[in-house]
Amino acid sequence: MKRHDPDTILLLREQIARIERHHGASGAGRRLATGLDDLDDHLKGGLLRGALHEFCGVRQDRALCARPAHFAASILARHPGQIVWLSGTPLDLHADGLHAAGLSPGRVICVEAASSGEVPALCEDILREKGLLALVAELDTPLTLTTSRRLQLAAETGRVTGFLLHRPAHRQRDRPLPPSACHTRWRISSEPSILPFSPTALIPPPGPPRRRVELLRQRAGRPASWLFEVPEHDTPYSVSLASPVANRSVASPSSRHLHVVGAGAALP
Amino acid sequence: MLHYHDGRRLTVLAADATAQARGVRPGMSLAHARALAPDLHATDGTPDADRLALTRLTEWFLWLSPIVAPDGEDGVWVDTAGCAHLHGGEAPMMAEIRRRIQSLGYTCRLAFADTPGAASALARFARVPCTIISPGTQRQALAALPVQALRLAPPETDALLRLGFRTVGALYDTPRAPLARRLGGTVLARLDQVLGLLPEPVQPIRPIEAIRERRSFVEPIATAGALATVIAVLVRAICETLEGRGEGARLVDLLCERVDGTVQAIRIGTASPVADPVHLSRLLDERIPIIEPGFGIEAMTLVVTRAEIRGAAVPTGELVGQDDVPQGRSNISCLLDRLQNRLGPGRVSIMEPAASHLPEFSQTRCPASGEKGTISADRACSWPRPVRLLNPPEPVDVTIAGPEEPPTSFRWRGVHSVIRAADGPERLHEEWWRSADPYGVVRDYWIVEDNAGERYWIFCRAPLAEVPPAPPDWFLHGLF
Repeated sequence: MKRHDPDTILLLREQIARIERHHGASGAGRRLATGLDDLDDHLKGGLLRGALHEFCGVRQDRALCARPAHFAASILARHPGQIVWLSGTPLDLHADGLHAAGLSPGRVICVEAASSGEVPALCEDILREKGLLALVAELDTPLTLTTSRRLQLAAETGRVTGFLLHRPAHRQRDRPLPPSACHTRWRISSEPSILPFSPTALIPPPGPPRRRVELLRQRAGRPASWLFEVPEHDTPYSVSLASPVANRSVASPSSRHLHVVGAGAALP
Repeated sequence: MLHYHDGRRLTVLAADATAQARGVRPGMSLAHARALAPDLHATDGTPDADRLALTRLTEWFLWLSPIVAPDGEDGVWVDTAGCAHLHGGEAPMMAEIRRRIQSLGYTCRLAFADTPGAASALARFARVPCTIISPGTQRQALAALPVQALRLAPPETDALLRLGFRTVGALYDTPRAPLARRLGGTVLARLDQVLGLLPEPVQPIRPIEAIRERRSFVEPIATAGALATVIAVLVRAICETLEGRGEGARLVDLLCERVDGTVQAIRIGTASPVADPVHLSRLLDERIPIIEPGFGIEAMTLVVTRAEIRGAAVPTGELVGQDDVPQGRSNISCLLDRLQNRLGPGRVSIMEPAASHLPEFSQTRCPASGEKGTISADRACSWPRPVRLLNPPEPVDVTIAGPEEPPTSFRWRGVHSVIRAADGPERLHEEWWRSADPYGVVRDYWIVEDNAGERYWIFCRAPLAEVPPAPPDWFLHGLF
């Protein structure tokens, strides 16, 4: 009986690991560092690998999702591996723009599904594939809770990180995103830049663009919000999205932005 | 008439009946042939293509017998032992062969004999185009043929002719030892081969067979699980064959024969040659739902329709993933193949730079194959570009303060934006070869920021030199 004990303990450990899935495991490769120190500190190292992360834009960008795409591309640019960019409509990515965000366009495999209804099934299939760095999927209808759980489990199996970009169809544009099983939810918006002083010009040139990055929801973590300033675009900003922090990062645990989406409380 | 360059001069390679009637013979110089027939039509010969055509003709003869071989530059040797009774005897078989060859558009000379050498000699040098000699009579049949019929090298033939041997029969009664001493052993060896005293091995061609596996079942099957099991068995079998040949499948057909006699076919393609059973069975398993088994499937056949030589083996999925970061090219070709087969052609692609400075034309899509992996596209465009492009650019209503100035406000998709800052213009000339517009249309791109902080990439499209200046059109091309 006694000689079985180590085996039993091993078995129990295995079971616990299975229950905890990969959350129990530790290692430097578990998280995708965003390259923004404040964000990484808050997220304990970056976005979790093998999990789903949702992104949405605001105002005019809500349907286009250009800034979230830029944000995702600049994170993915920091990590080697191939990326599948999946869309239910003809993909409108611009290779030069991806390159400006730091991501080599050759790493991106564009997959265009025949209809947006196929996208969740394809997502699941791709997320199960070991060996990919990430899947970026463009959704025009938000996932149901069941579907997002399925995708989350698939991402955990394949250890592929899923970036879901919400591009709501016209009639759903004003509706808040329903709750989902994704690990984090982000909203990327822009703020007016500080204009440089120029007495002559009628319309002055814009200052460095400012990006508001809001972590609306995080599983087992607090929401927060930051304001970043992207360095001048004529300097090569392929290194990261934003190295300097313009204002002191305004982490707002009070999360006054949460009422917009209102998803934080709906999840266990 | 065909000619070729033999290293020293242009030589006649082949001549048709009209040219031969004027005295043109293969082997003479082209100048000589032109002197004989000034209106000669001469073209370059293509010996390589001829050889290929002969190989194909040889393969075509497999209908007659399983052992066939090309004979020299212009002949085909067929072992018809045991084939004659299928056609009702040797003479009807010869007539049938002649008919079939003539229907291909060739003229031919045929001979049946006991030995390959005798048949070859008779086919080329006999007086009649079709010869059949009865077994064991080649000695008499060949006696009257010239010594060229022995398929000797030109110096040996010349030596024989110099010695006064004009026919094969003249060699029969000559003492062998002096002849061998004088001319070497080849002449006598050839003679013995022709007469059947020495064996002459012939190297038959081996046709490359398509890789196919077939399984028929005792009971018809209809369930997805059973189909998957059979697919796994078939795939394992063909992958072994592919491995042995060092090839990989590019196109695979699965044919399911149903009880009612119809056939259900599934075709899958791969981006790169594949001989991995896991990969192929995953691709096929995905297509199982589209098989309609009906009352059941009796037999399944898996055919490799197109195979290619495979490169070095690549590590499979077990080595990548887990906790380490996948480096560079990982084994995602299986995923790509599955997506491509499921979604159809042109749906899985990667972006490639194209030679154009207009943003919408500066990239093309090319099919993604796992082989290429990461391409580091060296892009020189250092100007700010949005990640997404509106395609086509959407027209916007603008209010402008003056010419060559950025707009002060604009309306896009029903939203009015007041511009507080603008950067530009970046002038791009439209490419006149792409559109029907007159030459000299330019686009001035501006990066504008509105009061809410949104940054737009808008451009003004106008002809460069037009008097009076036409009102420019404004478009939105992207968001930063």
